Amino acid sequence: MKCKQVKSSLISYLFGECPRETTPLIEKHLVKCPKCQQEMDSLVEIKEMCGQWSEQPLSSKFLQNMLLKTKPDILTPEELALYLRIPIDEIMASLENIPHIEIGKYIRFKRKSIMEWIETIEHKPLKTIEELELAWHTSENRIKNMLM
Amino acid sequence: MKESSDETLMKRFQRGDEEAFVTIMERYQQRIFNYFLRQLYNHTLSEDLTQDVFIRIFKYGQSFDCRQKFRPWLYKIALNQLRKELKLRLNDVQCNKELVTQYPSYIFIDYELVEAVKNAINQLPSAQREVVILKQYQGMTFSEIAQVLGCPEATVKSRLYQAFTKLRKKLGKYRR
Repeated sequence: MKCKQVKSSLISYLFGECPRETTPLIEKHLVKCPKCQQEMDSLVEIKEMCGQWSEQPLSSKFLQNMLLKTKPDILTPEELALYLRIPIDEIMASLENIPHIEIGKYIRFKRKSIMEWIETIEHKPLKTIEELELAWHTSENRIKNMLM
Repeated sequence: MKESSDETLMKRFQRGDEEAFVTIMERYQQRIFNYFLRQLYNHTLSEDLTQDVFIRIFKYGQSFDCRQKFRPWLYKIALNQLRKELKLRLNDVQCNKELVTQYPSYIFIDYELVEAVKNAINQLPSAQREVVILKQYQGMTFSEIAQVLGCPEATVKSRLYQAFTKLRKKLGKYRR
């Protein structure tokens, strides 16, 4: 094999994807050709350096979260806490404000009802100048009342 | 017991076996997460996008042709999500420069080298970077990468070789 042919196959050889019949020919050439061997060595070095950048672990709750999103419909307090990303104590403390079902001593939540409830409590941005002015006056009055 | 292939699992999922979907997710969640993390450098965002990928599979899994290979199909979905996200961040150059990695303290890492590698890969043209990530870090074959990117295998190999040549220049001072 000539240098040009070998050079064009080095990347496949580096990743072990050379055709079986080509591999011994490349290896034979590398033994005899210092220039191509040097090229190969540098590619190996870069591959090894890149390999230093190792994987990061996914959070342990990922699978649980995924299952919540793909499975229906009824959530336990623990699952709801996970879903909303707030502590479970907060859920239980605010229970009277959250739509829920009581079955004996068990509390459960319907996913659909929770989504609807979230819509109602979501703070929406103010849209008009009038609404902005009203908010300003409301705040102003609140401060005045506090100072009185 | 022999592990079921991805395609077998998808067939079972298409027939209503949700456990098969969970198996697929467990098999690929870590890899897909790191696929995003290596290009977005944001842990939370990468998790969110990983979720999006699997939610799409859950919703549209019926459209997968089980006679084809699953992995390229999966990574095509991931690539589309990534490209959408990168488009949103096109003007936010600062985001792409946040290269934060947290390793557990018991693992010895040459931090300087790793940061240099990350920077060097980040600075590659996107076409070359995509190939490096899929080949070096996701372990896909050239044929699979060609399917994901919709280009010939020879193009994939050429891009990878050009990428490695550029990386060799940028990482010169770290070489033996």
